[in-house]
Amino acid sequence: MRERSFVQSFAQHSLGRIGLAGIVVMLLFGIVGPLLVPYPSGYNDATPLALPSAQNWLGTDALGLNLFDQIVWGARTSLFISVTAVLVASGIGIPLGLVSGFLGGRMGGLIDSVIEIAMTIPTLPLMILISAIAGPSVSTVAVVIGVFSWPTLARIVRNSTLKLASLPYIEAAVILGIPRRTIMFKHILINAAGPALVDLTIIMATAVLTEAGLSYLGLGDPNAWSWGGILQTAFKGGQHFHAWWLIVFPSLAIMFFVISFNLLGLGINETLNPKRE
Amino acid sequence: MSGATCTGQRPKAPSTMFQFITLRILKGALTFLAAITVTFLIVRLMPGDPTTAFISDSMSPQDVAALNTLLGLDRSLFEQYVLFIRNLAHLEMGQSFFFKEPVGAIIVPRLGWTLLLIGTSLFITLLIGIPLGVYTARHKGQWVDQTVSTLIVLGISIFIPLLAFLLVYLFSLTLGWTPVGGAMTPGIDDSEKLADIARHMILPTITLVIVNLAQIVLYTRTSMLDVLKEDYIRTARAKGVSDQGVTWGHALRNAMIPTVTVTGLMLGKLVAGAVLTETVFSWPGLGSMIYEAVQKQDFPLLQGAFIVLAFSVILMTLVTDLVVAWLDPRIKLHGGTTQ
Amino acid sequence: MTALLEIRGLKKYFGLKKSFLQRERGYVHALDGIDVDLMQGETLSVVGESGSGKSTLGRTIVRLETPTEGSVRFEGQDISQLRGQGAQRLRQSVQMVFQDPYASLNPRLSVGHALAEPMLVHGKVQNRHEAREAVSQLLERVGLRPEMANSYPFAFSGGQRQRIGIARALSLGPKVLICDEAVSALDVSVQSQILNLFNQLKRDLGLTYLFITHDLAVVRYISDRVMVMYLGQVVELAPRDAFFEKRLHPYSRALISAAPLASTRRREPKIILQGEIPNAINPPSGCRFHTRCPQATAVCQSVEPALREIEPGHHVRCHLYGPAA
Repeated sequence: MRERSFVQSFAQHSLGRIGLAGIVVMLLFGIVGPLLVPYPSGYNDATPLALPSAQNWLGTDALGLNLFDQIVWGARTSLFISVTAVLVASGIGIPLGLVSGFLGGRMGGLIDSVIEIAMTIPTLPLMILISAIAGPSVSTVAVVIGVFSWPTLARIVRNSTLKLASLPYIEAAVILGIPRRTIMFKHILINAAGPALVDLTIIMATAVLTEAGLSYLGLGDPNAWSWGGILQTAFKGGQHFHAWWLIVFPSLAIMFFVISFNLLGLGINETLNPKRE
Repeated sequence: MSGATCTGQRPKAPSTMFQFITLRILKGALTFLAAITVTFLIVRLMPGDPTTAFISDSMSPQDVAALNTLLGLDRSLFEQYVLFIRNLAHLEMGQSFFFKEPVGAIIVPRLGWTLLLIGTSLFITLLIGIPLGVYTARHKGQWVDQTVSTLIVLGISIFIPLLAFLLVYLFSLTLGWTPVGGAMTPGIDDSEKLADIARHMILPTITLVIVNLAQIVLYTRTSMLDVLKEDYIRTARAKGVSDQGVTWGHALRNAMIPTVTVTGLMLGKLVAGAVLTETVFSWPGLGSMIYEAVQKQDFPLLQGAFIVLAFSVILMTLVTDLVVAWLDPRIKLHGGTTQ
Repeated sequence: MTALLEIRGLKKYFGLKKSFLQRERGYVHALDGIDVDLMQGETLSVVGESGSGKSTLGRTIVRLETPTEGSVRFEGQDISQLRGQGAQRLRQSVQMVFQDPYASLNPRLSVGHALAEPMLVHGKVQNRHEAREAVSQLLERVGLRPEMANSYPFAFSGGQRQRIGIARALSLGPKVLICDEAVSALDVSVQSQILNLFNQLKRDLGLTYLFITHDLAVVRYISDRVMVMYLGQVVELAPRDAFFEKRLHPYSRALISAAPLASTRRREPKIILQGEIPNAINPPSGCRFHTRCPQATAVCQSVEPALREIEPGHHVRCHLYGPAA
């Protein structure tokens, strides 16, 4: 009896479980949260820059808006960005990786060269350029992050595909006349999913960090609540020195999100390659 | 050489290495071409009038006319592209909106600051990171390893402005040990300039080191673990080479390869980190220049900064690839990375 | 008796390229001129050491490799010319069973899925209900229980997995099965079970086998005819009994003497061949076996012998039996 199911092995691994738990919390915040929590806007009677209290759990910002609400709505933005980025990156990267790995030959080498070139181009400056010119918006940022994340994913998928393509059960599928598209997107993909999944978690974590960075540089979407945006407002307005909660809580939120996904990725990685000596 | 044994079984090493280097340089050039083409397209195909990317309201009609000719803004896209490439070959990148000077002249000194910062932090990161990775790999599972592993997870999740802010708050504002920002104190004596710069460099360097250390240690540790398991290590041990010898001799050389590789891959992240770090610390490098250019909507400057950065990164990646090839004899024989 | 497969002058060379830029530096002569017919209803064993090209032969027939020269005809049609529908029809007629039971089944597909998929693709069944029926029948035919369709490969032993692999190969109702070392990775006791299964299936379904193996005991058990390959060429081709009794080719003699066969009445001295199989990139001149042949003569070094029919149905490639002798 060689293999236990992947889920079983994964469940044994504590790092992965912690990450998963964190993600569930994030999902709650991001999906359920905005349904329960009012959209921070407008003027209200609350005191600006108030300390965390029973009324305002995490305090308020310079406009008197509740920080907790902002964080909850920021969670939704973060989820949106990371999921969009992942979808875009997968939509491009996975098919390219599969095709270049399975078909091989000149075409495969060509795609691989494209991947390599795309990987070397420094991405943040380019993203800054795009955001600066196209105008800041959450969707733009998300799509751009996805577009810059596909090369690494494609590489990973390609490497897995190369290893799998010469296995007998794939050759059997060819001999049985299974169409090539099916072989790539079913037979190979379900076996290549592991490392790809790890990279997806990294993409999601990086997406949020990148968005935060862009917001910090002033390129964030002014119409959407994002954790990076909260930080940027705080730094710019010089409030960071007295209103520590405006810095701490959004940063914690970012770190929590990012660490959860990184842990999940590490957990998946450990499950795939158990390093027991 | 090939006359006698015409079976064609043994590859000729020298020509392979030469071919490899040539191929690699060609690839670098292609990458650079791709990068600047993307820049070109982005600026000109974005929604809105492309000329606003180059011509601001504060320019005089003569300037506008001159710029039009220089950049060919009234001609077809392809012609503009050709002009763009030709201008670049002469290091002509347009004129900054804000500074009203050629972009190239503004960028070069700032590039120097950025390279100083990145170079120093990379050096320190590798200096600490590689031995640390090796050590934790050898003592896998023990408390040092566990602590470091936890720190690694934190390290790859850090948000730079936060870290930078914390460092400034602690060391500059509270303890007063380091300056708050910038690279130099104005009006300082020439004799003290070096020390002054070094002091200003401490916090930004620490920031970059912390962020990248995690990646390097993670990679070195992982590849070290893989390498330690390989058969030839067992052979070396059997031959009686001491444990230390095994680690530092055989294993390290081959574990270095993925590390150097990942350094090359990390250059992109390094640049991203530099952008944020420089901005927080007002370090006068290309990164903070990008920030300022964004604030002022100075597109020619932005474009120029990106081109220069892309060139630097691609060049450094090329160098690391060649170093890896030197370390890994398999690459010379097979003419390319096998994985 | 009709010939289902007709192979003429089949050559397969693999080029050695070191990198993208370099020209090819030599070729591996995996198959160097194969002529053989596979007759309907027979089990033809293909024997040889590793490097003899026997696997390449099988792979070329199922179109995993394309011939460098020569032709393979199935029921009269050149298979390398088939495209689209024609190629799919060929798939239905010629299938393969693999060697490694632990690598021949997709670990993430259930047994039922793996068996049903080809049938659905080729339209042998129209919906999941029919598929389930067909899968159950297949499983029973190979000696497994229908409930096993819901399980995944990891739950099965090597022998069971091999049965699943056979079931999969049978799912399209083929006429010819290429068995590439199909029992070599199994325990001896399991081997005999699977061999019996092969025989039974042949009787029940009227199959034709091309059985690739290196194990002469297996050859003796199931073959009708035996074909010995060496370094990409056929060196002997004979009906089974004639092969084992006469052992014309020196290489065959060495193979048989080295094999642990129970029923050798005479205790012959083992013939141990000198050296190793030569490099397929640069085959020896003349008769390829001359470097290791205990009976090599001068002519063997310079002239390549042709495959000659010495007796009805018995072909040998050796100067000992030809007019040159």
